[in-house]
Amino acid sequence: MLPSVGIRHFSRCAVRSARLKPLRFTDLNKINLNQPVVPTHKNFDVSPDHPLWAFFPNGNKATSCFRDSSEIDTSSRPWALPELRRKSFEDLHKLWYLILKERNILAREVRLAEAIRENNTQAHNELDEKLALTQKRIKQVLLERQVAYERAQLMTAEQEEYLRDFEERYVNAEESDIVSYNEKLIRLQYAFFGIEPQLDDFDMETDINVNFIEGLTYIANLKHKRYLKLHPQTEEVLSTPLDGVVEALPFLLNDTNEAIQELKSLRERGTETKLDKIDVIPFLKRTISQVIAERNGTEAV
Amino acid sequence: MSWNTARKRFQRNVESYPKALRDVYLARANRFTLPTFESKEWPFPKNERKTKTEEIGFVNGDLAYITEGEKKGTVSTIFQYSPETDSVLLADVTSKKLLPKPYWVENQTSHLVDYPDYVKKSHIKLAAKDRDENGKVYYVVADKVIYKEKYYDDRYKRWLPRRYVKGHESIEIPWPNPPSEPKDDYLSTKESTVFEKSYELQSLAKPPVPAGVLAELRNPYSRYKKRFLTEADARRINGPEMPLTDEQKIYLAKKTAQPPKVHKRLSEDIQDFIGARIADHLNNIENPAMLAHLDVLSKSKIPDFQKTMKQIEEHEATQQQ
Amino acid sequence: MKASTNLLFQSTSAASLRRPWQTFRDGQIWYGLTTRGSKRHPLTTKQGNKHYYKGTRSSGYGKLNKSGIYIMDWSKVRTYVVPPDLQNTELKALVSPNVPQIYQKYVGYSDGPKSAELAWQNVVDFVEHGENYDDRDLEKNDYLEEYINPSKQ
Repeated sequence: MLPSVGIRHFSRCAVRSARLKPLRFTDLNKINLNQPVVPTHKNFDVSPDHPLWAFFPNGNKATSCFRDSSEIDTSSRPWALPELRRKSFEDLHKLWYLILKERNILAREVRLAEAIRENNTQAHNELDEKLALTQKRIKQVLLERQVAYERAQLMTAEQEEYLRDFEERYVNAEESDIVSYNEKLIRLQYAFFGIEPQLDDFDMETDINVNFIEGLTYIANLKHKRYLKLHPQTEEVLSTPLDGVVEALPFLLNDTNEAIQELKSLRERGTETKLDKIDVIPFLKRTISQVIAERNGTEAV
Repeated sequence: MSWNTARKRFQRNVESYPKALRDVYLARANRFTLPTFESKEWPFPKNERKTKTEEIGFVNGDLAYITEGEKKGTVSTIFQYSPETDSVLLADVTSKKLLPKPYWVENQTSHLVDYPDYVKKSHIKLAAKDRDENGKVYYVVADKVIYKEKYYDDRYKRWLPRRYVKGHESIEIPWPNPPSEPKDDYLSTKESTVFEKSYELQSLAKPPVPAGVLAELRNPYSRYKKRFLTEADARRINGPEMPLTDEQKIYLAKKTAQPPKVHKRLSEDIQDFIGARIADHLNNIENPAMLAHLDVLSKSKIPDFQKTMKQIEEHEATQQQ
Repeated sequence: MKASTNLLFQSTSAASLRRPWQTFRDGQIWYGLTTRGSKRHPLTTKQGNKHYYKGTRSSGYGKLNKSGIYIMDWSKVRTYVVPPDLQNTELKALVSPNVPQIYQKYVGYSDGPKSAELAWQNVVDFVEHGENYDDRDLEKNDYLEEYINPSKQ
């Protein structure tokens, strides 16, 4: 006969019969008991380089999850604007993230304090205000720089006048001054046209632009004019003004004498040096990267 | 600041309420404070608090002359300013308060404690101590203080303006010594690092801020930013020129066929006639106010009339040629 | 009185919802809990029915295409550019209270550090005098940094 067990019931026979058995102690010495596991966070093993340790004041050396007001920095003052104005973008970037990390720690602690009904978070909030103020000031300093830069772009009249004046001074400079003038020229090409002093620092994607071409033409003309001034009896091949980037580029890459030789050979060969507008930038990119590769190759050998 | 923003919208922003309502909520909040520890006023909103030394006018350690309340007429030392209530704690202004046992400090033996009272900033005046020739101490009380040239104060490690009594500008009230030497803490940057210079403007061709950062600093989608219309936008706004209807064409053709309107000078007869009619009318007016009004009116120049007269003169000049 | 009978007195059923101050005859208010205070707050997850999902405004990084594959739009994914050597820097989040505060003065410039003339002057100085053109001894000057426009003297 089948036992009448309801379909929707679990069988409890085993449980019942187990309870009915008399409790019997056998040899007590043979029973092994495990150590009881205490429910505390110390029983968890957390990797010391877990990223969430960044939310604790001393990282993985943190001993508590909440600091009281005596452990909070109350004496330091926020960064002032004149101090931030001295710092480069990289420094400000670092400072921003240091502050952000500190604010994250504070935010976690205040949030925790709300949960555990700990009301004494005034020191946390005051510190957070100081940090937030510094962040605002960092933003302000960056914007100040950008605004000044944008406004200075509009001073084209002054720029042109200065460039003209510099050209005159450079062309008429004494032989003893020319070294310092060459240094000035290198700084000028960076200041006005964004041309890096070292070829290796060139960023081919962004640095070769309209501004670069303008600067290149200016520098090449400057050097060419000075050469003509120093050597009044030059051949006619050299005395006509430079035309196009192909003739100008040697003056940026080499020193003046080499560039003049190159120019001479270019003009004597009589090859067409005028480029279409669309070809100028690709030509510059190609030639400059070739020169960089060559120089690095020879240096390596 | 609480970082639990979900709760924020159910909380009252009492600071922005009118004074009468603020008092109601203050009374409600005071139900839960200890007796004798009730707060008298709701704290100022953050934008109204004064935080700069020059705005506050004094620092901790300054002397203050009290002008209101029990201690009126005495001079005391300021030891704390509270920007939340725009009031100060003074060394001598205290009152007895009842403190329950759980709040007792060490070595306390009585429930009654001397507790400093807040004095409104408007109830004190800045004072200074000085000695006359005989070595007798006297106080100077400044009704108002004015600031003059700045100097570097090595005690405060900053530039401070010199304070003078207004109206007696030979009397300077020097800033007091700061109470204690502050100590560095774990977030303090050292002086050499702070003053290290790592930026100077070197190029007008390279932006000082990378392009990606600029979008974080300025809102590229700002409503207030000047934008440029694309050609499609301009076309949509202006709309095409509609062709003329037949009626319009007929009307325009008729109008061009007509000779242009020419203004002429009025003949002498008509001028006389109009003049006589107007004179008749004016002579009948007796109200002096009306007459005065007309007198003023006659002096005003009518631009349309002048324009017409100019046209007439031009027309006459062309006819003479 | 049934709640629905209240609708009979209104022009539309929506109008009755818009009138939280409407009361039943016994004085109980018809809609909402109080007659005072602001009520037109956005919904929370505790209101609305089982289909109400408030969202966190945090998605939208891509779209499902018609075969059910999620196509990421990488331009919408947040990126945080963390400086590489954050551990080695001497900088800290705040400044020691013993560091003197610099006092900056801009004389003859239209808009302080934002003025174009100052930027122009700096660039010219850089070309003429090279790097560190603006080096000054702060301690000697009592921590005063004065920028004077040479063209307006």
